[in-house]
This record gives sequence, C-alpha cells and structure tokens, in this order.
Amino acid sequence: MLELPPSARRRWCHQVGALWWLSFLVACGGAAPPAEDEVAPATTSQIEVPQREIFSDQSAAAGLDFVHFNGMSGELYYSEHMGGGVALFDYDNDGDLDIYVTQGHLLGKGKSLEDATFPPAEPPPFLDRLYRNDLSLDAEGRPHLRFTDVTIESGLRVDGYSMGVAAGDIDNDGWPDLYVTEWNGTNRLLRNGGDGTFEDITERAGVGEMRWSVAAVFFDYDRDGWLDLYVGNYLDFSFAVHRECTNDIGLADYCGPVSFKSVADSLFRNRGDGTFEDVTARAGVTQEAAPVLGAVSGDFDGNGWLDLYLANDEEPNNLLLNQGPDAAGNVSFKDDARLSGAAMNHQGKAEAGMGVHAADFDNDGDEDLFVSHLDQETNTLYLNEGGGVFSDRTVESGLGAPSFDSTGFGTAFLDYDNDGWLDIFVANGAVQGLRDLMLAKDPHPMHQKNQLFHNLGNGRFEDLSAHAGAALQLSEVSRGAAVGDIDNDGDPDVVVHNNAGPLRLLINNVGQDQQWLGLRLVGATVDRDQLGAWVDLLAPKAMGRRVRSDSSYASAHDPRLLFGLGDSSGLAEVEVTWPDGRREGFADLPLGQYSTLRQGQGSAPRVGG
Amino acid sequence: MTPYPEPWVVGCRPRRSATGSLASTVGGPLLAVACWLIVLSCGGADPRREALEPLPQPDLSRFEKAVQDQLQRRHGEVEEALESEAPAPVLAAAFGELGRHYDVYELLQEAEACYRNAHQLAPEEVRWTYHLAVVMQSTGRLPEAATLFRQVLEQQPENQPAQVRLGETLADDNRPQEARQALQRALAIDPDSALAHYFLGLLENGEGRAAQAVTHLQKALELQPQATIVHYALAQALRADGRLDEARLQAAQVGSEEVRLKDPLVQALGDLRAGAAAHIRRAAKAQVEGYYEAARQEYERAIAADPANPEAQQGLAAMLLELDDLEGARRHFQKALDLGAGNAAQVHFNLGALEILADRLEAGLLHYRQALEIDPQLTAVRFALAKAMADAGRYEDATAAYDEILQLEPQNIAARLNLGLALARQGKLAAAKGVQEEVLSRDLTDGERAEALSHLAALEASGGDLEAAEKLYRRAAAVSPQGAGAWFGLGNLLGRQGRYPEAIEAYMASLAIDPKNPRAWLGEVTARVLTEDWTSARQRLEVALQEIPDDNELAQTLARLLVTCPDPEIRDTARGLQLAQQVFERSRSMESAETVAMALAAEGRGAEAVDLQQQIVGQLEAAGQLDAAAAARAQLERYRRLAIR
Repeated sequence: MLELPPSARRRWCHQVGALWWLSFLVACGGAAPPAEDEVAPATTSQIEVPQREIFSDQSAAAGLDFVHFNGMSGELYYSEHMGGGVALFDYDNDGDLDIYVTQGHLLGKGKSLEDATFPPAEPPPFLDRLYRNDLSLDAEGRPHLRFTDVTIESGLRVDGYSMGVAAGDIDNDGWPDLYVTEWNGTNRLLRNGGDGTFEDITERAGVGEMRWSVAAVFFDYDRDGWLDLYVGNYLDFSFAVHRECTNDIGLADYCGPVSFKSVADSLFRNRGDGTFEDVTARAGVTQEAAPVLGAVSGDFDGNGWLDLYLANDEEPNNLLLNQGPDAAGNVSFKDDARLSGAAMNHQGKAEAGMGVHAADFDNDGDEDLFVSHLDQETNTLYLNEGGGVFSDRTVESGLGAPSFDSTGFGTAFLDYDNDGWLDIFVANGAVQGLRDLMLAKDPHPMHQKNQLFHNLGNGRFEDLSAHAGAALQLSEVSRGAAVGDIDNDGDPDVVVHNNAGPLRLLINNVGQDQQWLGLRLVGATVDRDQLGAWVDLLAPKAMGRRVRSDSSYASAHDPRLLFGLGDSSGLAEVEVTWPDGRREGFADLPLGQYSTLRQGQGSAPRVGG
Repeated sequence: MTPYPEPWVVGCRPRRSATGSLASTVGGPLLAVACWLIVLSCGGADPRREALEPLPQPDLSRFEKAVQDQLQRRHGEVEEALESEAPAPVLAAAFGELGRHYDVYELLQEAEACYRNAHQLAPEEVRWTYHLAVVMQSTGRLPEAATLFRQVLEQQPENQPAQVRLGETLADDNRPQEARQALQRALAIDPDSALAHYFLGLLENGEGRAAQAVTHLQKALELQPQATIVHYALAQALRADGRLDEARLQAAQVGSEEVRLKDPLVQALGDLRAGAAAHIRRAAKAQVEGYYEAARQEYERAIAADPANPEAQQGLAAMLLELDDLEGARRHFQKALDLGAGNAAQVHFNLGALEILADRLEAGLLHYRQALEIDPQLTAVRFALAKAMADAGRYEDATAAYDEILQLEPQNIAARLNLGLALARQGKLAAAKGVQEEVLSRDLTDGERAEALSHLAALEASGGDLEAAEKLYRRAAAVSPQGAGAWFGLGNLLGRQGRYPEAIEAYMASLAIDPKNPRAWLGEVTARVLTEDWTSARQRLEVALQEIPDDNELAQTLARLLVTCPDPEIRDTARGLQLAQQVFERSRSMESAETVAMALAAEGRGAEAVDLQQQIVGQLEAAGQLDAAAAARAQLERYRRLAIR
C-alpha cells in the first residue's frame, strides 16, 4: 500500500574524447587541444574516406524552417527533453515524400514565453507542422527540393505536447493517415481526407490513449486487411510528480526514468468501419507496465504472422511473438524475449532502449534488430539466428565501442551507398547534462553528433561519422529520425528531429551513383501501402526487405523499398509475401526507378508459396 | 538479523564503492622515495615532472560543504607538494589521493588527470596504475585500459582483480582469445572467481560452445547464487545446447543482481565519501538489498550530518515503516514535508496510508486530499481515498471518489468494479448492476472478467435470483479458474441455500487457490458444523490456523468448537480455554471474553465464569448495547446454575 520513492538514479553521464580536452582548456586556459586525429577512434585510420560528403543538410535550402520548441525554462521537466518525432509520408499521393513534424509548447504553471530557455522561432500557437514536398527536376534533370508549410490549409491543428508520429492508411482509401502520440494530452488519429486536409477522428475511432505515449505502430497483426495500431506507452509523468534530481557531482539535472512509474501499452484492433477496439488484454499483450520508447513490427520467428519488438528504457525489452489465430479465430501474442535472447544484452543487463529498427543486415533472410541506448552502455545489435532466436553481436560487429560515448535515439538500417548491405544511422543526444557542457554553461548541455556506420558485408561495421560530411559534425540534441528517398533519386535520405533545435534534412549524395531498384507495394483493390509485406529480391542479387513505416524513435519512415544493387545491371525479379500470407512473383522490373507492385497482378511464385 | 555484508564491486564496468585495501602495495612509496633522492643527488631534472598534466580545478560549488572541504584539503596538499618541489613519490601520493577523492565523487576526468600524474611520477606504485586502468575501462578506452592492467600484472602477477578486469576489457574490445587467456589465468589464481567464470561463460557462448558456456555459468551461479543476471546467459547457453526446458527455467529466474568482484582498491574508495549524501547513498544501497536496520542507521547519520535534508528524513521514515515503527515513520515523513520534500504528494500519500493503518481515518483522508491538491492526476491516491471511505462504510463518498477516477481514466476497470460495489452497498442495485454489465462489455483480462461476473452474481443474489447468481459465479470460475473470489462467492451462495456439501466443495476450491482467506475457512467450517461433521470441522480449523496463525476469529471458532462440541471425542475444554485466553490477550474484545467465560464454565470453573460474564454484562449495558447485554445475561444465568451445581 505504501509506495516508497525510488532511490535509484541514472548515472552521471560524462563525456570523453574531444570534450575531455575542452575541460582542460576551460579549467586552465592552457595548452592547445590535440589534433583531431589524436582523439579520433583508432579504427577510423583504416577507413576508406569518401571523396565527398555522404550527407549534406539541405533543410534551409529546401525551405524547411521548423525549429522545435520544447518549452523548457530551467525546471528540468522530464518530458521536455524527450521529444520529438517526424514522419515521411506521401500525404497528397503525388509521388514524393512530405514531412510531418511534432512540436511542443511552453511548460510550467505561471511561465511566460520570456521564461523559455530557447524562445520559440514562431509566434503561438505552437502546432505540429506539415510540409508538402514540391519536388521538381532542374534543367539538367537533377532533383530540386522545395518544401511548403501547408499546416493551416490542411486543417491540422495539433497543439498538444506532441512526441511521435506513425503513418498508415487505416481506412483503405489509399490516403495515408497519421497517429500522433502526446505527453499530457490525448493521442490523435488524423484521417487524411484525400483533398489535402485531415480530420481528427480520435474519439470516433476509439483510440484516444491519454497516457504518455511515444511509439506507435500500424500493422495488420490479424491479417484481416486493415491496419491495427499498437501504442507504446512510456511513463506516468506529470508536473505534479515532477521532482528535482541532481547528478553525481551535485548539479541539478533531469531525473532518470526509474524516478517515475511505467505505464502499460495498448493494442487497438481495426474493425474496418473507422473504429478500433481495445484488444490489449484479449490479445495477451497486457504485459507488466514497461517504459516503451521504441517499437517495431516484423516476423521475427518466421511463422508468417507479424510480431512486435519493444525497446524499453532501462528495463528488459519485449518480443511479442504472434501466435496466429486460436480455434476461435482470436490472434494473440506471447512475450518470448528472455528466452529468445533479445531482452537484454549478452551480459544479461537491461539497457536504456530508445530507438529500434529491424532489417536483414546480413542478407541471410531474416530480420535482425538494432537498439540504440544510453551512453556508457552500447547500442546493441541482435543477430537473428533463425526462428526468432537472437544473439548479441555488438562487440563482434564493431558497433559497441563507437557508441559508448553517445546516447542514441532515432535509428535505422539504410543502405546509404547502395552496395546491397544495410548500414546504420543513429541520431544522438544525451538525456542528462554532459559534464563539460554543463561546466561551460551550455543552455542545452546534451548535444552530441549523429553517427553513420558502414556495413562491411562480413558482419562488421565501421564508424564513418567523422567522414560523412559536415551534417554529421553538427552537435545537437537529436531525437526522432526518419529515412526515405526524399528526392526520389534512388538512395535513402534522412530527416532528423532535434529537441529545441532545427529540423535537419540530410540528403544523400552518394547512393545514386550505384544501381538500385525501388518498389512500392499496394493492395489488390486499394492503393494502400502494404505495410508488413516481405520482398525477396531474386535477381540481380539476393536479399530481402520488409515494407514498413514503423521503428526508429517516435518517427515514421518511407514505406517504399529500396534495394541497393552496386554495379549490377539487367532486370530485377522479386517474390512478394503479402501481409495476408499469399506469395507472388514479379519479374522484368527495371533498375534505377520505382515500380509499383499490385497484389494479385504477379505470377505464381518460383521459390515458395 | 543477517549482518550487513561487506560490499563488493558489481561486475567491472559499473561504478564502485566499498572498503578494504591491498596490503601488497605498502612497500612501494618508501622504495620510490629512495630512488628519487638518488636522482636528485645526481643533479638531474626529472623529465617525469615536466610532463605532468595541469592540476584540475573543478567547480565544487554544488557539493555539500563537507565534500567541498574534503576535496579542497586534498587539492591543497597537492599544491603544497608542487610548490615545495616534494620528491616524486610524495607528489605522486598527493596526486593519487586527490585522484581517489575525485573518483569517488564521479569527477572522472579530474581523477584521470591525477592518476596519470601519479602514474607518471611513480610508475612502480601499482595503485595508481590500477586506478587509472579502471577509469580507462569504465570510460570505454579499452586498449589503453588493457595496457595498464597488463602493467599492473607485470608487477603483481597474482593480482586477481586486475586479471579479471583485463579479461573483461579484452572481451569488450573484441579480443576473445586474449580475454580467454586472461580469465583462465584469473581462475588459476582463484578458481572460485565467479566473475571469471561468468565472463568465460559469455565468451564460450559468443563462440558457439554452448556446453562449455553452461559449465562456466553454472559454476558462477553456484559461487554467487544471488547473481540473478547469470540466469539470462545461462538460459541462452542451454537453449543453444538444445536443453529448452532447462533454458525456460533459467529464463524465468532472470534478475538484475550482477556478479560481484572482490576488488579491495576500488571498494576502499567508498570509505572516502563525506557528507549526508554519502550516508544517503549507503542507506539506499542497504535498503535496496533489504538491510533495513543498516539503512535506518545510515539515514540517521545523514540526518546528523544535515538535519535539514528532506531526502534523509523521508528515507528514515520509509525504513521505520519497514521496521513497524509507525509513529516514528509518521514523525519523519512530516519532517520531510516541513523541510519541503520535492515529492510532497507522495509523502502525503504515505502519511495518509499510515494514518489509516493506525485507524485515524480522518487524518488519513486529509493527507490523501492534500496529495491530490498537489497532483490531481494521482489516481492511486484517489483509489486509496475511495477505498478508505468504502471500508469505513461511507459509500456515497466512495462512489463520488470512484466517479472522479473514472472521469480521469475511463478505462480504469478496478475503479469501475469498485464503483459497482459501492453502489450495491448503498442499496442501489440496479445502478450497480448497470455498472458491472458495462464493465463486462469491455476488453478485459480473464481476472477482470471473473471479478465483474462475481460482482454481478452477488447483485443477483441480493435481488433474490439465486439461480442466476449461481450461473454467474460458475461462469466466473470457468473464465478464471485461478480466481478464488468466484469460488468463495459460490460457496456463500450454496451455503445460504443449505446445499452444504456443494458449498464445502466451492470453499475448498477457493482455499486451494487462496488459503489465506479466513472467511472462506469459516464458511467451510460452518457448513461442516451444520452437517454435524464435527471431526472434519475441527481438522479443517486446525489447518486453517496453521495457514493463518494470528487470525482471532478462526482461533475463537476453534475454541468454541472445542468447548461446546456435543461429540466428546472432539471436545477438549482445556485446549479450548487456552486458545480462548490467547485470543482474549490479543484482542481484548467482548466476544473473546465471552468465549473465555464459556470455556471456564465448560472446564467446571463456574464461579470464575460467572464473575467474568457479570463484567461482560456490565460493560455491554454501560455501552448501551442492550440486546447483546440481554443475551449475555441469559448466558450468565446458565453459568450461575452450573456454579451452584
């Protein structure tokens, strides 16, 4: 009956490397810092340095003027440093990716905008923003990006403290809808009317989750042809339970998640009539409340039914394996993370899961997992050994040491150089003040650089961050990250959401030099992206990819598929396993462009059915 | 009470605290001073001194005064040694000591600079090399850490902590072969190193040698059974070895307690901590480990160091509560509030619960309300408030409180179920039924569905439709066979209809799931008594008392059975009297006094029975309980007749 205050606190996060020298400069005003190569990780000396920037930030040039307002004023409210997210989706079906980005607002009773540590870049009201992509080609046929803020004309007026966003077509009308997760308010389901406007149908649809949610996943778990919705809830934090925490050197700092109670998640089944039913308990996902920050769907055990993997903050992760229908036709899940090896790192330590992604990074036909974590932990790479059995290959892959000093949030597997091997992008930003930045009186002392890891194709990755261009030398408090081919040139670009900072549009400058295959998968009778479909590329190379918009942190990716093909040529052949389990083959697909595959228009599968 | 153990270092990477020191390092400084003097006498400038890193100057303003003083004193010692051009070993010791102090307060960059200087000035002094290596390891600079641990081992080949840490460092640096060698050497020094076995197990697991991994991990668990983290790796190894059932068993036991390393140098750092924060830290650790008395003492020391520290007051209150000192707990929670505790809502919540435990309902409700004023969203407090009012029979207030919860959390099934109960208790049966039916239309867990069905059954029974009630109870039991409530309700319903054998069966089903429900035991025994099955009634009461030894009502029932049973085989008036007296001592209730009188009479001690019964009658009359007094007087007359005989 009596509840005692949690005593555990998150450790003091310190920073080594370049910042280590900064502290001496500040403290002593003395010697010059060492040259950059003296402090760079030893492994980078062997890296083949790209000739040009891999990514360049084109947000300003493209008219993306969004700056996140987190509403902080020195009180260190727990929620203020956790937002936000971004979605890449084609809301107007014009063939290019538009951007939805979440916004915050001023926090604290009696506070005025003058109190804000970072004044807002725009006058109130502070709304989530929708930017339309007006992509065009210049005279030389090169993509020219221009974004237009269409928030007002779209009828969107999401003025809560938004955290994340998921995208999916819930009513099979061919227009992607949005689900926005909120802190201190009700999540919103925004139906795309197909005429450039959105309607808030939260109440009617019955998905008005009021607890603090960050992650949301659209997936058809029961294979009935309608996208269902999983909402990953985080903590029970409000102003009233706000507390003052200090770090280990006595400085006021953000509390850790253990200072607050976790809350349970929700699974909503799409009835197909515009409403959802809460089937959390019936589907067996009423697991113990856990602080979910990242969520991703996939068929991890290969039984043909979509599972869920949940990354929890400082608690063991969950692997909810879809059991398929019982005799009564009810589909339920069973948590198998502890036995499967994906609950904790190889030492059995629960880590602070933030972002997550699932993909077949080793091209062996099953989906592996990558989870971003707190500094002084490492990000973790879970290799799927088949049948949903995972082993932690972080150390062996070379991904451990480079992540030790960073706190990862948004993340994704992406083949930035189109060589057929999935690389990894991680958006970083600490969750407690970094010592040197605090001592230097930095007003937002949690900024870190984002990272890019190149897949060497042998199970190992190399840290390319220092050589990926100026965009990856920016030090910001990054949170959400969404990946997609924003300029339709056949390689993955990235949009990064920065807490109390500008949105970044990282355009890939190198992938288009290699051959590629782009696919959009739609339903037999509706143009809904077939989230959950799996595509086996049979020629000219062999690899598999899943259609998804979920994963990362609080964000939604491009649902189209990109296959990097290196120097391959000819035509491509694929086989698709549709979300309903049916399988079809498609041949003679041209490289270097996007093709749309419609269910029912393929041929009998060559490999399996 | 289990003594509070000497803390060990948990794993290697995590930060540390504890006690102890390495005796083997004592000879180092003296020898080094001698060497230094030789260098000076030859007139050579020591290049080691010129390569020193600047003396760190961290901002200490946020530390407690006691800590600031401590660090400034150590800092001053280094400055003094620098200014006086003290011999290198002396300067090294000053830097090293300052490094240790920075280390313990997590000023790792400063600690590192100091250790580096100490290591530079006195490379023969293993302590500084070791501490520097540990800092390198804990900040992820693995190659440098490995080099430094190897330097330690060159001088102290038997240094087991260094050997284990080297193994872990190499493993983390993806150098499995070298790691294996280091760990095997660690086991050669101490075959009972749980951590060395653990890391070897992880290495074997990573390289696909599942059987070997199982052996090492099982050994680690055997050496440190409390290290529940090992179960996870063991589960993976067993699974990989094809032993799935055993793997499942291990997976079910996974916890967060890590494998510990006996590491005297690192553990000794903990003793350097000063100020209230240090005591709070130790207290919190003891608290987490369940050593409440040790935690209490540390909180008291923290309060002695800083009486105005609300965290210490609150921690002490929590410990006193664990130690059943309710008044002490109340006092210190209140002090925490007076001192402006940051989480005042939580403190009020605790105080409210405390007051209600102490039967001070109004005071308890007041604290709950104060908690809600601070945080209206705290539904746990609202729930406690509603329940307290319902328990006190204030069903209208409880109804209003449950309604408020449901406005905040429409999905709160527990609140909805309790709202139905509160309405039923007010006689609003139709409304109560409506609530339960509404609950049943929602997405529920099996347990919630069973509870709602049981509540509905109770409502049907109240309305006289016993058949409907029975069907609902049976449905509830079928939905959630492990829910005791449905079986208990069914037992009551059947007993009420005189269907005693069926009632006994239902009560027994309930008790098989929840043997701690005294009402179910009483129901079952009553049914047995009513079928005049005295033997089984007595047997079951004896079992009940083994399950719930302190339950007065069960003890009193057995006492009455023993003194009044018509079957002489069952009757045992001496034991009945003894039991009745025990209950009376515990409860001092009128009912228990009556049982004692009854037992005295049965024992043939009529005069004493009359005497006691007369007192009971007097007290009942004085309390205005005239019906009870009349019944007691009738009993008194019987005892008088017995006494005359």
